[in-house]
Formats: sequence, structure tokens, C-alpha cells
Amino acid sequence: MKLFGYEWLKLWQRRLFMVLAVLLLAGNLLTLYILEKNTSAFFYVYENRELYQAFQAGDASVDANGWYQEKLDAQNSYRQSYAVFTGEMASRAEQMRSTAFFSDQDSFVYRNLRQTCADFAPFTGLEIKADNDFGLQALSSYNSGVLFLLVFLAVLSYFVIFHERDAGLTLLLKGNRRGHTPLALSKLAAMLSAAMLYALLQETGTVLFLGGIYGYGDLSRPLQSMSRFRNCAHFLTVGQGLVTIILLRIAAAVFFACLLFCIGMCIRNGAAAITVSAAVLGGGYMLYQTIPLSGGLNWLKCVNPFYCWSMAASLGEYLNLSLFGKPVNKGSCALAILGSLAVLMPAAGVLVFNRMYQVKSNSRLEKLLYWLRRKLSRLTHKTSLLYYEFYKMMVQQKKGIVLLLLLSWGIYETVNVFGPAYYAFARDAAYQHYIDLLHGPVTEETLEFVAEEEQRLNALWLELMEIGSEPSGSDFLRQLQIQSELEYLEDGFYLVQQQLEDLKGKEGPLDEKLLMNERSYAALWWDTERDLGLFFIGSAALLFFISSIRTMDERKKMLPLLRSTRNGHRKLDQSRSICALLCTLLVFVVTELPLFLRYYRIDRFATVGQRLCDFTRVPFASSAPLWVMLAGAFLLKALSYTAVCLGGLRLSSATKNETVTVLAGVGTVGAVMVILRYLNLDANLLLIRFLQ
Amino acid sequence: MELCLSGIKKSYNNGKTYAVDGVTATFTPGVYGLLGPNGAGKSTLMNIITQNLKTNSGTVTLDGVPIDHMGADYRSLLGYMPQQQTLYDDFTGERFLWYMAALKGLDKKQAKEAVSRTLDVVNLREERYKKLKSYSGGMKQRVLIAQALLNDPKLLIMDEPTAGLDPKERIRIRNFISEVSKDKIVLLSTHVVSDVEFISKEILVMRSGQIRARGTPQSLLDGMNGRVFEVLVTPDEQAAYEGAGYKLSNIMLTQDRTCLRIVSDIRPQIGQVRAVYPNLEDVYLYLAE
Repeated sequence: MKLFGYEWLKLWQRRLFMVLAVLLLAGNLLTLYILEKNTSAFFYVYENRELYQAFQAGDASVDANGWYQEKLDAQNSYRQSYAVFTGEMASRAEQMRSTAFFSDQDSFVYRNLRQTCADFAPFTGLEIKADNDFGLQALSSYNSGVLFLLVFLAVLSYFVIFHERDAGLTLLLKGNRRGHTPLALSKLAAMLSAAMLYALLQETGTVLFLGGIYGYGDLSRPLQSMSRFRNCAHFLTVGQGLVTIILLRIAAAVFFACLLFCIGMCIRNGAAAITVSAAVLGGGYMLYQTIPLSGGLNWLKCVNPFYCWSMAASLGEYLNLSLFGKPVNKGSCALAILGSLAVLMPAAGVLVFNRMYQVKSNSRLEKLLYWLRRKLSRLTHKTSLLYYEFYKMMVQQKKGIVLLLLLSWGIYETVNVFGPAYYAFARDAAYQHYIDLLHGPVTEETLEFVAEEEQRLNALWLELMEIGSEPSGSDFLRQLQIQSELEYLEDGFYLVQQQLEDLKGKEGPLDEKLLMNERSYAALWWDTERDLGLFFIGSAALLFFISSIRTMDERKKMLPLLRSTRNGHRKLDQSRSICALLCTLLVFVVTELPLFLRYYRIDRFATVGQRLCDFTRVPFASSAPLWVMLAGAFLLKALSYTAVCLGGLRLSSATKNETVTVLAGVGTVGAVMVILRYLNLDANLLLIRFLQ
Repeated sequence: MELCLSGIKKSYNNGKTYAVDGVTATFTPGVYGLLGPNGAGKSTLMNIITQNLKTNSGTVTLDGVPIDHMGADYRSLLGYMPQQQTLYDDFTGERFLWYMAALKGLDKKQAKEAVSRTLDVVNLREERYKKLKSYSGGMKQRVLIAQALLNDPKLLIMDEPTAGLDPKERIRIRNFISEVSKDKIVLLSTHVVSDVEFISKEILVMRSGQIRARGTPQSLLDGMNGRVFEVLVTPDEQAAYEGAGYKLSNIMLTQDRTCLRIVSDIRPQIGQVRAVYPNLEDVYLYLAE
């Protein structure tokens, strides 16, 4: 096998690396999904796909509140403006040339004006088309994928460069005939190929994911059909645009990989290399974000891999940079400069690798860490085996990285729970508004309020009719005010009124029943995809954590030593089991806390005493209070996680192989999730069916 | 205190071959050197004594009580130093010792004292905050010795304790073992004969799962008297000895000839032959190989 093959083999055999790569790919899609879920397009185009398709087929009646028409009008308006933009460019340029600023024919501005006209001239009369552009909008707005790529590359460079160096293996390898340039080149090739493969998978995944949610419309229409790409001076169809952005992002990944390779080869200490890399990349990102496109330092913005990553910027913005007074397209400049750097950086890296003594050096950071370890050593004087089991798992096996990712996600989700609420319809917002005012026991005051509000809304209707169809002056303003108030409140109020009527129809005295936000509960209960998806991710993380609890010591040949000690049998096994169960608890809390807080946010659990049979939206037969069902659902999930944990431990004991345990465990959980999805079942729906 | 092995047999392949084949021995406080080639069954025997392996037959008793019945109480008297170089890389030396102290059931106060004491014994106090991955082979060996001593064991089992140590550390550890062996049974497996030559009360030589010889160093040496010869030979004569399958414990080049040290029941006939007093390497070569 070639050296390159061995570099790949080493990567392939790094379980943590492979698991992280998969988690990062999944994390990218999950982030995209979370971001998109809060958009109106997600509701109107994805969740109500049938309505959108009917509207596209010409059925305007499905567009209840005019959202689809509004988007279509915007596209049509843009189509007209694009024709004007390209058609009148030459005449506008002629006018500009007549001013003093553009009079000097040897100036950059004069040449740039001519160049711009020449570049856009072929687009005069271009037939652009209104179609589904939601997928393209989302794709061009989503740039967070670069963060996932950079994390992947950081991990990749650690395993390709630092891990071997820290273990003292690089010296061993360098002592061979092919241990200098061929070895460095094989490491470079492994990094570049892994970066390309990852970027290809991530970005193709992103494109397909958004295609699946929204679609891209007619792929053969010009990219300029979308207003964001009005300034694109390339003949590209939408389909070609999608391929181009994938290729551009792969190129950006290659550039980043070259940069990290160069830094990794030049700086022998991992922590210092990561700090320098973060500073360089952070600096590059700041330049891309803060420098205005029209500013004097705009080349720092455009000749920047982050700029290439952004679809809206790289394909949607037009700019010529001044090269000795001559206008050169930003794309050509970026290609020349970044391309040259992508050759020079690895070359420098290889040169340094050949010349430098490849052993780890102690950086200031490491000295500081050593000093801290010394000062804080008392804190680590523990005699609890559980502490050491966690330490082995999280620090020794570096699984803490995955824990940190999981916790970050949990915090992000938890913070999101308390963010502003978005409502797809005014009806839902009004319902929420009324329920916030009225939730709790149905009292005389409640009924009084509802009656008064009904009267008020009726009075508004009467007033509206009195104003008539052709109001004038202040009447017109009043009419608008009333229309808007009715539009926003009436439907929501009707829902509350209906719920109250239904409650009256239930058995038992009305004052024992509670008026509560049933719609929010229902929305959370019927979110099966989220529930199952979350459980799958939680289970995968849990299996990853516990898969090595019983195999790690065996793999490190520590077992004879541990087993020869007083607590090396039963107590050690107990600690491992407790450690696994604590991991289960941790994963359960992190994945379910946001849902718990969502329940809490509905009305701070003020109405969890409601009997299930008093629900008006779901026909429950049980008279158990709501909190029993909520607790039951959480308990069911906790038991499911525990089952995954115990199954994982059994599997790990049987196979004695961490990878097999994770793969087999994740495969099994995945298969169960697919079946449950097919049956439309999750913990909540299972309980609902049971209690109905 | 008395550790008795009685008819110990252990097979890894359902009785086709035995790694330990009917070993019977009794140990009282003092140092015992266990010599034998790779695959002789030394590590298997140690794993049985440390309760890492179950025997197929035979019993191990401590003061007459089978160790299986004693369970954790037996292991709390035990200190074991395995032969290995893989440790928890991200543990510092001190943290590793604290972990082992926890496994040995020491409370915080005992652990603190024991960690401090053993760090001094193995001369690792200055390096205790460094991670184990930065330790050299010799330092790892020393930290393994330290962990074995944490609980002040009554029964100390050491597999190749001085492998990878420099001569100064080797002597230091050897002297320490000798010092602590007054009230302990120390069973020390090694290939390096000089490690046990001067400190061991008895030496056991194992081969093919059996104890082939046992005795004080002096008795083993005396038993070999008359079986070790130094022969001055020419290159042709040397080739003849090597071809005849003699056990050569040493080959030393002199100005014009070669001096062979031969272990043999029969007095060699070629070259200038003289009988010499044996050393333990000769004993090892004669009995174990």
C-alpha cells in the first residue's frame, strides 16, 4: 500500500474521528433545520406543501392570507426591474461618463464602468422566470456550514499531524527512506482528500436537504431569476449554480486544509497551532464580515475563503478590483491569489517538516497548564472510582468533545425556548394572547370576560358596517384599524370561545375544569419527527459514551492490574454501571430539557391538573390529570434511554469492540426509529393512544 | 504468612496443552526469583496468584485459606506490578497513583500518605504532575512499581520490575525490594538474572509450565558445579562446538582465539578446556533452555 493509503487507514481506524465526522455532518443539517424551522417559508412551502403545489398549479383559493401571492408579486416585480437594470445599463453608464468623476479615460473608475457594461451587455434581454426560489434563498442565506467544516479540519489536522507527533511516532517515521517529502506529501494528500470528501458530503447534503424541503424550481432557468443573484455576471442556470457553489465550497475546504497543514507543520505544539489557526481564521472572517464591498480594502474581503464560501457573495455580487488601474474581476483575483497560497503554504509545510526536529515542544500554554495542574492537584485527590471512570471516558478517550458539542446544542435549544415565539397565523397568536389572559380555572370572571370580548368584537363589526365601503378621512383610518384588529383577534377568540363551549359540554361542574393552551400541547405532542430524531441522536451519543466503559481497560491491557486490586472486581463493575447510567441521565436531561421547558413556557404548569378527559382537542377517555401523562411520556423516554444503555453495555461486553457496539447499536436504534416513524408513534402518541 | 500453590494447572485450550502444569510451591516472607524463558508459564502463574485467572485444577491458599474464599480481603494484601507499557496517557503520574489507591480501597488520608511515600521510593516526586504520555519507558516502569507498593502489600508480585530502567534505578529498586522483603512475600519474575542473584531467598526456574528447579542461589550454583567450562578455541573449533549443539553462555574474543563458556554435562574435548565455577546465567541456561 502507498503511504497515502496508510494515512487514510490510520484515519479510518480512529473511531473518535469517524464518529465526529458523522456528528458534524448531522449537526450541520440539524442546524440548518432548526434555522429554517423558524421561517415562514418552512411553514408555507414545506409544512403546507399541498397548498403551495395547488397555488403553483393555479388554484389561488388556497392562498388564504395572500402569502404565496405576495412572494409571486415580488418575483414578478423583480423580473421587470431586471429588464430595466440590464436594458438601461449602457445609457446610465453614458450619463455617468459625462460627469467629471468619470472623465479621465485612464482612471480605474472609467475603465471599471466600461468593463461593467461589457460584462452585463450579454444579459440584456435575458429571459428570467418566476418559480420556486425558496430552496435557493435558504441555501444562499445559510453559511454556518463553514463552522462545521473548520471543526472537522481542526480534528483532521490533529489526527494527521499532532497525534503522531505527540506520541513520538513522527521521529520513527522520519528515520526511513521515504520519511521526509513523501511522508509529508502523503499527509497533505490525506488531509486534502479528506477535506474534499467531507466538504462534498456536507454541501451535497445541504443542497439535497433544502431541495427536499423546498425544492429549487426549474433548474434550467437562469440563476439571475432570483433577485439575490441580479448582479451575477456569469451565464449559469440554477442547476449549474448549485453545482458551482458545491465546487467553490470544496475549493474553500482545500484552501483551509492547506492553511492548517502549513500551520501544523510549522508549529510543533498542538495548542499553539490551534491558537494561531483560530487567530488567522478569525481574522479572515472578521475581514470578510466588516470590510464594505465598496471600501478601499475590499480586496481583503473578496480574496478571502469565507467570501468564496458565501453563495450570495461569490455568485451574487459583482466587483472588479484595481490591478495597476485596470479592472480585474474579483473571482479571477481570488483564484490567482488563493490558488497561489494554496500551493505555497503546503510547500512551506513540507519544507519545514523535512527540516524541523519533529517532536512536540512545550508551549507557554502547556507550561501554564502544568503550573495549573500543580496548583490544583489537591482538587484531583479523589478516591471515588466513579470520578475516575468519568475521567477515563471524557478526558482519556476525548469523549468530552462530543459531550461539549451535546451540551452546546442543549444550551442553544434551551435558550431558544425562551426566545420570541413565532406564529404562522394571526389566529394562533391571538389564541395565545387570550389563553395567557384566561388560563386557569373557568370562573365567573372568565365567562364575563369572554362575553364582554364577544360584545366588543361584535360592536367593532357593527361599526365597520356603519363606516361603509367608501370611507373618507378619519373614517378610513378607523376602518383600517378595525379591520386589522378583527383580522388579528377574531379567529383566535373564536377558538377560545369554542374551547370554552366544548368544556361546558364535558361531564362535571365547569368550575372544576381549566381553560388551557391545548393547541401548544397538541403541537408538541404531534411533533413526531423531532421526538424520534432527537431520541436517535441522543441514543447515538449515549452509545458512543458507554461503548468503551467495559472495553477500554481491556484494550489498554490494564485489566490484570485493575483486577488484582481490592476494589477491582465488584466495585469497579458497579462504578462502571453507575457511570453508564449517569451518562444516560445526562443525555436524557440534555435532550429532553428543552421540551420540558417548552411545556413549562406554555403556562408555567398552571393547568397541568386538568383531567385528560376534559381535553377538547384530543378525545381522551382517562380522567388522569395532564401532569401524569407528561410525566409518563418523560418516564417512557427515560426508560427507552435506559434500555439503550443496558443494551449497549451488553453488546459491548459481548463484542468487546467499541466500533461494533456503536455501529450495531446505532443501526438497531435507527431501524426502530424508522418503524416508529412509519407507524407515526413516539412516546407522546403512544401514551395518547393508550389513554384514549 | 505462607502462600501455598498446590497442583496448579491452567490450560487455554481445553487441556490440549498446559501453560502451568501441576505447579506446587510454598512461599514464606522473602524474595523469590522466578526465572524462565518466554512462554514458560511465569505470567500465567502470576495471573493465577493475583486472581486474574482461574485454575483448571489445584488451589492457592494463604495461611491455609483458599484465596478464592478470601476475595477482596486477599487482594487488599496484594501488590501487583504487571509487565506493560500502556497506561492511561492523559493521567498525570500522581492522578494514576490516586486512582490505583482508590482501587486498592485506601481512604483519602491513607492514599495521600501512600502516594507521597511511593513517589519518593521510585524517585518520581518531581515528575508527578506530568502526563503519563510524556513519561519515558523507565518512568512508566517506576510508576507501576509505585502503584504496587501503595497498599503496603504483604504479597508483592512483580513481573519484570527492572526492565527499561537505567543501572542506577535498577540498583535502587533492587535494594528497595530487598529492604521491604523482611515481612513480605515478594515473587519477582525476570529474565535478568542479576536482579535476583543477590537478593532472592530462593530461585525457581520454570520451563514448559513446570518448576524445573528450586533452591537458594548458592544451592543452585553448587548443583551446577562441574558442568561449566571455558574453552579457548580457533574459529574452526568454535564452528564445531556450535554445530554440535552445545549451550554457549558466553563468547568472548581474545587476541588470536575465542573463549567459549560452555554449559554441558559432558566435559568438552576440543581446544584448551578448563572447568570454572558457574554463575546464575549458566544455571538459567542449563535448566530453562
